Amino acid sequence: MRSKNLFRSDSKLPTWINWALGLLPFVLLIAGWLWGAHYLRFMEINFPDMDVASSKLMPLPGEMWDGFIRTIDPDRNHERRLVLDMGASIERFGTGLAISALGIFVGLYMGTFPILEALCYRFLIFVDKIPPMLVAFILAMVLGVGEEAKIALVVFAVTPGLTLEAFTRTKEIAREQIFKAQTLGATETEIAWRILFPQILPKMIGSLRSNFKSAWGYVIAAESISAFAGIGFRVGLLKRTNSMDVIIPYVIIATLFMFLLDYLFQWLESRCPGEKGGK
Amino acid sequence: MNAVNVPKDILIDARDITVSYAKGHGRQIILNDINIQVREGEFITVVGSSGCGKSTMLSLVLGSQSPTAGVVTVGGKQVERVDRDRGIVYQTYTLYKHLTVLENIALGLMLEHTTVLEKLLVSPLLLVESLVDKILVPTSKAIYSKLSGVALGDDTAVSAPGRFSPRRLLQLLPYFRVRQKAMEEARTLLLDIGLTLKDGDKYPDELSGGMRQRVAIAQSVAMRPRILLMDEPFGALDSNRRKEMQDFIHNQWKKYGLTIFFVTHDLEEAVKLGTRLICLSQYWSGPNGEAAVGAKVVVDCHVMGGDILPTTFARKPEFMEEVDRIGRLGLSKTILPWAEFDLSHEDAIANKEPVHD
Repeated sequence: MRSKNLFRSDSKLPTWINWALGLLPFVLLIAGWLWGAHYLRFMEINFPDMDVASSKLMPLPGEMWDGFIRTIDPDRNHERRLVLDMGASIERFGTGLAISALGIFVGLYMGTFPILEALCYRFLIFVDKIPPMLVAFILAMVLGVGEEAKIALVVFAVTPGLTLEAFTRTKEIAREQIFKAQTLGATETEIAWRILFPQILPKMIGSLRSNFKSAWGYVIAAESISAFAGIGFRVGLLKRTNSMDVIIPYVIIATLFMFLLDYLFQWLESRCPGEKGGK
Repeated sequence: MNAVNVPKDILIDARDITVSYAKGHGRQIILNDINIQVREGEFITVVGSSGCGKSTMLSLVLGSQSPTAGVVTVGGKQVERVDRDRGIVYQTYTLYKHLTVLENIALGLMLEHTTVLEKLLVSPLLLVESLVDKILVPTSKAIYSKLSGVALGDDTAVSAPGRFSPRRLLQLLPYFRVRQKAMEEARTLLLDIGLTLKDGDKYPDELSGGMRQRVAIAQSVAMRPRILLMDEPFGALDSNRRKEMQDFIHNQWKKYGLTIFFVTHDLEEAVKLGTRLICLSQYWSGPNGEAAVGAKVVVDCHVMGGDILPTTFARKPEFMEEVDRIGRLGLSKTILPWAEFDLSHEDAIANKEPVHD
């Protein structure tokens, strides 16, 4: 019989407690924010001489909603800013990751053919160690302030790691599986594509997922160096005017995007043949 | 290719095989100048204490490893790499987990007749097919029966003859014809090994260990290999399953007239199953009293298995005697006398007729 004590390592939590505890940190965060916002306003009105932070730094939900509406309503240039910025950032993010994903195939071939391993492995280990943010300035110098530099940064930051991951995963597959495939008449290409690739695929989707965050981060970093649109660019601008009521909605939208994408890829991962829940 | 005259019915011919690894400044010798010849249709079991190189011997015949010295030929052809003439069943890693049981069995036939490019091109079509089969048809059926109150059977209406269906269009492609044929053959094999069609749609992870090994055997047998190599295939099974599988492989051997090269560390299993038993040992001394370096064949004899079911044989009184005898001869760690064994040896001669149905 499982213990009724909730604090034991073997305790089984009732569903409602599980959910309540999961939501608690969110509730605390919002409550803390509201308290802080009201506190700052109270101090501002009643004790204007005391040196507390500006109430602009903690906007109330209503103000944030207004800020949010302002960003999605057409401005004087007839542009919906949030849509424009998210679109620009997502385009960079998606293009960068799509190019980086080609590294998976390089890794697959490295893991399949020792000659490619000999050629690429040490070099990739080395390239993987170069700090991408330093390269970002070089890329901006060489490729200018256009899209190329930003996409190149994402590619540079993600590809080596992803390739090495694909290589390691391919290598992890027991050699016996390859011998067995050969007894079944598989050719070299068939070993790579019909035996090894389907087996690393779910792991590579997982690896892409864990790279989302850094890719997103590098897009934003590249945009804050130089851009004409994008999340990083916009928040950098808004920082100068202390417009927290718009910054927070931007942060929430950018976070939600990551969350949904992660969820989607998690689902994809589980649908791979042979995985749990796969068809 | 080989200058040595090999009798016609010799399938595996391993001559003067030495395997050694570089170790420190010297070399570690695993197999020391071994000769093994195997006739077509023999069920040869290889035993030996752990680390004596039985699995290495198997790798040599498979071609996944090459000897430091000597030549292995199979059917007169020198073994250079792993190819489709020889089937293999390992203790683990036996099945591909991204394929269903049926696809696993059909894999060899599919690989032979279809290319990667075809697979790549038709994979979207396959997706459509599975969408139609698994989502569209059941849903529309459910809606239809709900509206009309008529319950529809489980048979897939799309594949009924005379009706238009996406699948019938797909079948025009050569890939699908090959696939259908391979799947049909796989289905026959599946029933043959005592699994149901329902098991065929499962993934290997959902099967028990014994079932997985059955499927692995079927996967290899589907290719009609000249030799089936088995590396402790039942090592991970509990004793009841093991007995079942011993009878099973015996039946398969009889049925398909296979030549089986069976490596095991279990002497009883080796005596039960084989028509001939080879024992490798690191503990031997030559005729001139030279010290043992690496393993040699210390026993090569005809055993009684092969004529009756292994589990029936195991109940006979002479079985334990046989096990004892060979155990004393081959597996004791006391220094054994060693002499060259090959097919001219009297014990090997005892099995004159290659076993066939």
